[in-house]
Amino acid sequence: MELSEVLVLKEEDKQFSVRDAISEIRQMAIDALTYVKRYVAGGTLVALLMWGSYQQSAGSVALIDKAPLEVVVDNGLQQPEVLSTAYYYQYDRFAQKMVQLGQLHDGWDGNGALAPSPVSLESIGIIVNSLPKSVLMHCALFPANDAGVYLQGRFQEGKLSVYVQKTQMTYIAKTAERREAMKNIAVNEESATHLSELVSMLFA
Amino acid sequence: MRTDMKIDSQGTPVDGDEMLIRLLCSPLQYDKETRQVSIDAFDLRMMGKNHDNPEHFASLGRRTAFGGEDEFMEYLQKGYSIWNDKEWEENEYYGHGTFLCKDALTTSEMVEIHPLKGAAQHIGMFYAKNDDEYYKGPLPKDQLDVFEMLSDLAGLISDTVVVAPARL
Repeated sequence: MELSEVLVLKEEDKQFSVRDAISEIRQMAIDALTYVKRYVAGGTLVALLMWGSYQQSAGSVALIDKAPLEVVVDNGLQQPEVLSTAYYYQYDRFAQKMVQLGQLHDGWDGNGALAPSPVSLESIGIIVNSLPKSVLMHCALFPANDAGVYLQGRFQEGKLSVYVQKTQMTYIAKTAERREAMKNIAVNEESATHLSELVSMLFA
Repeated sequence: MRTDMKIDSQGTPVDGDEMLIRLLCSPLQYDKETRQVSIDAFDLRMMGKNHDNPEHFASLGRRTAFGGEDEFMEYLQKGYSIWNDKEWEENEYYGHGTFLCKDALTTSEMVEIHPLKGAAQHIGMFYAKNDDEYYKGPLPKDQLDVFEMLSDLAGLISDTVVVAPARL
């Protein structure tokens, strides 16, 4: 389920109560619960609260603006736990993109482009999993025409360009003051963590 | 000395202040969420039925050479015919980005932009491999200077990309 399809429960400055939220999103809550369960260990969805603008159409309410999403989860304790799922939204976007890249076949560009190799996808997954949400939300994945994959980030401070070809990566991280680049290094937990620390420092 | 049979040495040189157009070869080359263009957008492709015909240059449009809006829109339609894979819906968008010639030239010394033989609107971006030849086919992205050049070129058009239904 796309988070963008989740009902908006806050009308401008008016915040719905949890009870109102439940009554409004009965069916959506069921779907959302499934979604939340994918990423949250245990817990029962109590309400979905999202801040942003919305429009009403044909009796449903749809989010038309990306705003921080909070999920209230009843974890059996006295106070429900509020989780930030902005990260999950971004992770889900990447998960969907990974599926799309994995389904490409040779010639995806209408000519001789090679589809991303499974090994390249696995490597980019290691990198994506290592990056913090504050970085991921500004990043996108692209298929390279040579069976590799790109991860590109666009930030206020500068940009990140990562090229993965099987188990090797080449990257350039640039700001106005600094440039860090490495070529043909092995993708593993260690190099992914190093990259994550670098980009967090440059673009956080 | 570098040369290519497609370059029109008698043609009007491309001025640094000219507006140029790059058609995106696939919807997969643009991310709407982050407004980014793929690093591949200016790369050279493998063409031909057997994928054995490497491109010598990246095709560009020369804005000033189009007679009018109709002619320009007809050119944009070519983007759809480039990437039209049967799996994509016919009404999928195509995209293009615009940039100044001089901005592209400053990304790397490898970049050369020349008029081509044939239609006046069609010009080519060539990448110097060495003193004697240009690159052919997909560039080696594991070379940092090449990788950075392609990344910077893609960045040139990230804010200017226009997407529209393939059929106007």
